[in-house]
Amino acid sequence: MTMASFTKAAQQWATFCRSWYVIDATMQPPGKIASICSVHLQGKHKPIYHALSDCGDHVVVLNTKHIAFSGNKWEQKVYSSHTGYPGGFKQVTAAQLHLKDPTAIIKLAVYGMLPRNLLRRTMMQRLHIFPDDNIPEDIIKNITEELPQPRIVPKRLNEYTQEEKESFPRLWTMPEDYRIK
Amino acid sequence: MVFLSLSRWIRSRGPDRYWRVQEVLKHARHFRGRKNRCFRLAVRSVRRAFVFATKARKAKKRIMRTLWISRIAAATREHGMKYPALIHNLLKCQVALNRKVLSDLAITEPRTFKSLASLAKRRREEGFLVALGDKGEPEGIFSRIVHSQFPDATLNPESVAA
Amino acid sequence: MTASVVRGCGQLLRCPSVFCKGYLRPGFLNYAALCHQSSQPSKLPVGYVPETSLSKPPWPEVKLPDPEEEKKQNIDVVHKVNDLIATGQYGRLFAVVHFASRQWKVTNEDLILIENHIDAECGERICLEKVLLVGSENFSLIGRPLLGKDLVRVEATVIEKTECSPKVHMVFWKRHRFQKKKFIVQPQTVLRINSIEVLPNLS
Repeated sequence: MTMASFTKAAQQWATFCRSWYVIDATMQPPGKIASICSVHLQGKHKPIYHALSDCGDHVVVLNTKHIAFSGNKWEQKVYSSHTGYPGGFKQVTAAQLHLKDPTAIIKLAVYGMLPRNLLRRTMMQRLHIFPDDNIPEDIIKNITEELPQPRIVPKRLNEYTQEEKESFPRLWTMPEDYRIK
Repeated sequence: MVFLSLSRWIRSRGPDRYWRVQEVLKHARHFRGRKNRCFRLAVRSVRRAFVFATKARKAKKRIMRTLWISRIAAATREHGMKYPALIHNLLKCQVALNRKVLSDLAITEPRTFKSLASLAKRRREEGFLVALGDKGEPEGIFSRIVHSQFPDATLNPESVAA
Repeated sequence: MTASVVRGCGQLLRCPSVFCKGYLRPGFLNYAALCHQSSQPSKLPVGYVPETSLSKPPWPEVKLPDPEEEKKQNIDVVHKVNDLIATGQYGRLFAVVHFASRQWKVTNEDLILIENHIDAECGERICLEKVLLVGSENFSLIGRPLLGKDLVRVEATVIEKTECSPKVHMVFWKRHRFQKKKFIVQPQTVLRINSIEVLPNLS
């Protein structure tokens, strides 16, 4: 190699080091976020991947407070658990769970997508979930790369300028005496 | 054992029981518990072990192939493509490298893998352009996308008449 | 017959080392600022249509380079690689050869173990002719599917012909008084790769 600073040892260290990824969950579907996280936690994004070599990376998920379920999942999706005591079967909807703990939905989704083996808990420890974008300084320091979001964040109506709103193609123009209820 | 006559040979029932037992125990010596010294227990676990070994030799081929595929998929995504796109387009380019070699290249020869990926990408784009065809719309169909992208696209006579 | 690609000499560390500072995207919370902007009147041209989901086709835009220019570029690349080969400016070569119905990535001094008998005696030198790919530090030659015999030559010596350790093939069905047991011993051959040579005959 021509580069002076390049050594095989450095390459070895760089290949097997753990990097830290960050992903912003604002207006993103939780399942898509979770599948990206599970790939990176397992190390399946590396060509050196092997299930036993524990080559996964750290993933930081931001703004889980603002995740977006599609359809009527907030009301219809049910998270069930059992306390182990008689009559201890608990069921909460996604909305209720999200109000109680804004990180829980992402966490459960990722946990369900990881392989059921002894490394599962270790990989979960490398997942850092934050409900908003206040993250500790020591975690910011480690972050090396941002992962692209699976969905484009939609623009709100009040983010468009008046001109853009007016020039938007219309199917029909409203009569002046049209009464809007 | 030495058989001096045919009748002796027929009457004999194989080698000594001791040696037959040792033949089985030989494979069980590293087992845990009484299995490594009691024939009655050892013979069952040795049989199970042999069956497992036979099945595993077959399963290994399948497992390795899935591992290669997941490695190639990871390396392909680094170059902005997906696994099926790479494999399909390498096939179209008549590159006959198998998955074992491709995953080896992805790990140890990243530059060669990059050139393979760019070859596949190029083939993909060419195929895509051919599939898009000659920028016109199919007969009897008015496509707003075609008209917004190619304003000078020739309208087919039927749609003009309509 | 042959596709060749010259690669730049980029640093190839697997790990991304770029610290991404812009990881905090401006979310939808700062729409107040945008609304404020919109109050200032600014005329848009007549007939302006804002971008919608229908203004662009849903597939990514594909633009192939100019065929003339590309042809010139390809000739340049071929010349460059031929020069590199002719002046011997390559490091250690590796090759992918198809042998004994398997593909092997080999380099000089490699030992490869073939699970079969081959038709050559110990110490004989053989030439592996089905070469799929040859690579070095600065170029790789990809065969479609094979590289020509005038381009690459991979030679090997038969070092050892032996047998593998016995493998047990056992099938057993419980409760059916059925079992089969067979010891499988396969011939093995060890090859030493002596040399990988490329000649500047790229066309």
